[in-house]
Amino acid sequence: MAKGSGLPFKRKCIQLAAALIYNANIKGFQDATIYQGKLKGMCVPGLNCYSCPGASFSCPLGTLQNALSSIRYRIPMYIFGIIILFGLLFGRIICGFLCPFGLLQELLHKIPVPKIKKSRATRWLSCLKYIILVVFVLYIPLYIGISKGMPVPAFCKYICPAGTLEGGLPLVAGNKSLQALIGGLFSWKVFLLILIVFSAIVLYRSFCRFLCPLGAIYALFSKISIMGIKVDEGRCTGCNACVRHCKMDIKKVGDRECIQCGECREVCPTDAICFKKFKEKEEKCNEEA
Amino acid sequence: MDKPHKKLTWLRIGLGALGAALLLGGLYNGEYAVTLNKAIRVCLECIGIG
Amino acid sequence: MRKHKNIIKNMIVLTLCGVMLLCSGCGNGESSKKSQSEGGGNQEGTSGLSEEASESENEDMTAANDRVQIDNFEMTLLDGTKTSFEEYKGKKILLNFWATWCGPCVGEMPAFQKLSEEYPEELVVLAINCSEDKDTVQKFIDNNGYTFPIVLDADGTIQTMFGGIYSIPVTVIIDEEGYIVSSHVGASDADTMYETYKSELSLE
Repeated sequence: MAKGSGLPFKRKCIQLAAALIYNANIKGFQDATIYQGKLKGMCVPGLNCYSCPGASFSCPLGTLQNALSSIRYRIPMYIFGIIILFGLLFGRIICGFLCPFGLLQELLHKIPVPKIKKSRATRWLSCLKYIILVVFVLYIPLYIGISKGMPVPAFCKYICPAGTLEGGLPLVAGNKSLQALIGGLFSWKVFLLILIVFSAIVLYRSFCRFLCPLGAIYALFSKISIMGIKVDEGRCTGCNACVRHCKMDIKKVGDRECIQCGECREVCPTDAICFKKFKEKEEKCNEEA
Repeated sequence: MDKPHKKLTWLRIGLGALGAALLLGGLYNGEYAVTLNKAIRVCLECIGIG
Repeated sequence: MRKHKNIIKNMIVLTLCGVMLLCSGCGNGESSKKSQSEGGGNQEGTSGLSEEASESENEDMTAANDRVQIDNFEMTLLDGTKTSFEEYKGKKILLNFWATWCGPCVGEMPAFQKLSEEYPEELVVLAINCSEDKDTVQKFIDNNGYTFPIVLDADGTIQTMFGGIYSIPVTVIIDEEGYIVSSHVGASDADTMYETYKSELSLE
């Protein structure tokens, strides 16, 4: 039976392990410096600012914006290859299992206050992340990079709360010379961070659903990613208990809004939901293995 | 049910090959060092300072 | 089969943990002194930001009273010429660490151009590029037409010498005898920086 499989707990463990691995440079927090080792040429799959003192690797979104804004000097290939491979292999499993900021929002949501449930409005709002992807991650870095030769990682600069939380606050707290440089932009980013944190308390994974461009990118791979969640059409009765139980704005399990977390498996009366196996020919969910 | 499945497999193979080619091409082009150089320096803009 | 997936995932997680711990152990243990003796090739230093001169812990600098004087070092210019820091003594020096991908660095460069054009006798601007390849830097300079000396620091030797530059732009103001007057991290727009540097350098 899927119920009682302990998946939610296992998932939290994996999320925590990922967060710790991405940010293994504990010394950085003590000294308010950042890691400078060679590992930082590699990107993690989830959202983790490389200006975080603990960050041991690079952020895919930051790397993407930088690559696009430097397009005059070099056509980006590396980051595109990485993102395609991550999306193809994992898709939004990354969102559900391998993103520290996703973990943070889930923990915030556990705070016991009244919640805002999903609705047609939130489903409509979930389109916003695609717009943010196109405008802040793609268009602005490309346009200003090409026309003015000025590098502007617009999402990192104006929006990303992970950057503020993981990078901005710890570094500024520990560095007097940085404190002197704080201006309007910093205030805006802290304000936005506070807004997002509070919204995550009442709205499940609000940043992921409405704002995250990385989730938007991986969402595009939802139909073709190799790993992920699937529904055994043979066993499915169409009762939609999964969709009702799910806190994301899905229409079907495994669609673009699905973060592949598997929590729907707990409520499926016929155990029709399971994770894909590498041998894709099987459309069924085999409980015996 | 097999035809769309075959299409899907070919699409995955194609995309995987493309991704791998881009990754290797980027490495050959020295993009690892470029990514590294940016990541080991505090992006003042990213943390909200001019 | 689901168990297999879990095991594979766990193995990957544990392997990565192990790799990470190994690498963190190697990376953070080294002091900046050690990486200097390796020719500064490995930027493993976790030293702090370049702060006021009196607080720098730079190996290649000799402290005289409270001020820090910069010892001579070799530089390779963008056009391939090899020169040294000593050649520029006798003028005020504005030493800037920058990169083409750094917005504020690129944004304040018109200020450097203006200053170097207006005060060629009193001031020289030395723009030290942080570890980028020659072609990229050349394209950038060609696109923008800057005329002040551009220094390439591909292996990071000069950056390590100044305490490990890991937050750019950093601008160090040096007087005619080679003593550090002040240093700045970050930059706003070109006009503001022009005024700031002008007054710091005590130029008319």
